[in-house]
Amino acid sequence: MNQQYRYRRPEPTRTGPRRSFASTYDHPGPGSSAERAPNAPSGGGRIDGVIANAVDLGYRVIEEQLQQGQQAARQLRQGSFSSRAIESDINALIDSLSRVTKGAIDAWAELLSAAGRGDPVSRAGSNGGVAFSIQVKSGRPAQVTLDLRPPPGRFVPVIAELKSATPGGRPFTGAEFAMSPDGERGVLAITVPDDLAPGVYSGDILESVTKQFGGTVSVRVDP
Amino acid sequence: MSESIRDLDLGASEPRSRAPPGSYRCDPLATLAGGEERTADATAPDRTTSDATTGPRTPSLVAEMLREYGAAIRTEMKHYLPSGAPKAHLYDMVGDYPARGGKMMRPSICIATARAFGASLEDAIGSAVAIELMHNAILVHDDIQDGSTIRRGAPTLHELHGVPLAINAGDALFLLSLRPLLDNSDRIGPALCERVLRETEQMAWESAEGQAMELGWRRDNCVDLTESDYLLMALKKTAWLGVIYPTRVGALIGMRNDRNLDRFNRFGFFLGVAFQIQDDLLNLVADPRYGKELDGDLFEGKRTLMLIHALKTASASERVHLTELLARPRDRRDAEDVAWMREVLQKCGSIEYARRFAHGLAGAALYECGGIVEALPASRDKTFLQSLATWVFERV
Repeated sequence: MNQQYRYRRPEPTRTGPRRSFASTYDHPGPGSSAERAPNAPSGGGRIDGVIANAVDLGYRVIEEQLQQGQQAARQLRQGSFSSRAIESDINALIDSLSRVTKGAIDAWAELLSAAGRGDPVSRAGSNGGVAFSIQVKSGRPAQVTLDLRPPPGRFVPVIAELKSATPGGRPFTGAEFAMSPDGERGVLAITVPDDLAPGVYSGDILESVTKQFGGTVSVRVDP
Repeated sequence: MSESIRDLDLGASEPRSRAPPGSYRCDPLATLAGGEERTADATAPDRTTSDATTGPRTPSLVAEMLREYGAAIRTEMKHYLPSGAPKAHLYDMVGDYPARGGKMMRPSICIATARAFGASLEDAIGSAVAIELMHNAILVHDDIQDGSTIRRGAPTLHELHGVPLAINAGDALFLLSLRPLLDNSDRIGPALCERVLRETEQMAWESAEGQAMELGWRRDNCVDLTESDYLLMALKKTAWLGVIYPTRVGALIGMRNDRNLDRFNRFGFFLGVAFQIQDDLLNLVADPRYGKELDGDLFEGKRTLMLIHALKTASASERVHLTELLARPRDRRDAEDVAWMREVLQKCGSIEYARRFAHGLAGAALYECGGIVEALPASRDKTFLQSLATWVFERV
């Protein structure tokens, strides 16, 4: 046999193993489809190398971007929890608790932990903190916002009256602090009269003896 | 060309295919070469434009609905285009690009997504108008940054009026786009209105970042870019405004919540980048319907997927010359230089490579779209969204 016509294995075009996604479906890899017969079908489970590479790269890019977006969202959300979010979450909680129908509903929400100061109310909290509950009696939806800022020393809170935000509106006198029946905690009791005009009522909380400022409370009564 | 649009094969005759990406074939350039113009069939919205010998193709519904929604958007947009003074120096220019037409693809995608998820046309039309105005604003600035001379078949705004006035008109268009978003509050409520505005802000940032990447590559004559670099740039520059934002906003309006919006990023990314690559391919084809300057991207030295591929695969001497040509300012690349660049792209198989790359991305878009719409009831809007991945290659 003439040496010139001896059969030889063609030189492989690649120099290493294929480990890319493109080889998953047993196609020849990027750039090699041009070597196929011009009219060779690309179906039958085989995926063109360029196409597989495009999709593989595409998913990598978009998934990376989505991961970065999720991370940024997580960080932003964690950051916002330290400020506005807590306040709005508490308000939302109180709002949901105070949406009652006709009849009395006792809604309990622990609002605050602060340093205890040796009076009957402040001693009631765990770890020496101040623990309050809110009890709402209302025939209509009502939202209560309590911003408690106990002054140093003794703190037995009182509320004089809540002024109406509507000019000339009748003040609301149905808010008072008391002790719970078991004497364990303070209670802010809100009783909304049926004839009270809808609107927002707000006022200061004072220390009963020294009259020092101890926070604010507001009640929004819906029609 | 070994394939043509007549060979378009979605891998199955079902309207929605969950087949693996890349399981269909079509040829964008063959469509143009044939100059084929499809006729819409209003009586059979879900019918595909196929005949017995060619197999299924993109439903004519896409063209139909683009016309239908486009007309509604144009009517609504007119209410927002000011007509007072300063007329010649501002408001005539502001209304110029919107009056030139355009496919209305972006706002129509928003409306179709919203409607597919249960909203009414009226709920989505404001956001759609905003998207079209934003798109036009960006086009005005893009044309200046790219030094483009033709837009939608006529001279670009800065060619007609000079760069300073065109920049100002672009700024005004962007401001104008905020108005329908603010007016949304009455229709969709303040909370959803604010959510859409937040989406708008994110989209604007993404677009600015994408544009910065592309302009920076040109200024610094970057020639070692990877395909991943290109995909990231196209994601930000094109896909966000083109598809991701319209679908996310449409879904927000339709669903009235923001659950699981990431899936729209995937669909929008694949469709948007396929659209961009096809747009770059069309730039190499002389067709008056395309409305842009032939070879404009090569004159501009734009880093297209074709150019990135050619820079990787060209011979050493070709690469050196390509790099030298790309380093020149636009006005120092003449027709002869551009003809040589085209020749290199052709020789390296870069055009064919980009065409197949785009098909792969469109296949993935089709796949992702299936996941989004599979639980939705049958509707024209659902079919429209499913058909976009193939329509990308038939449009001009």
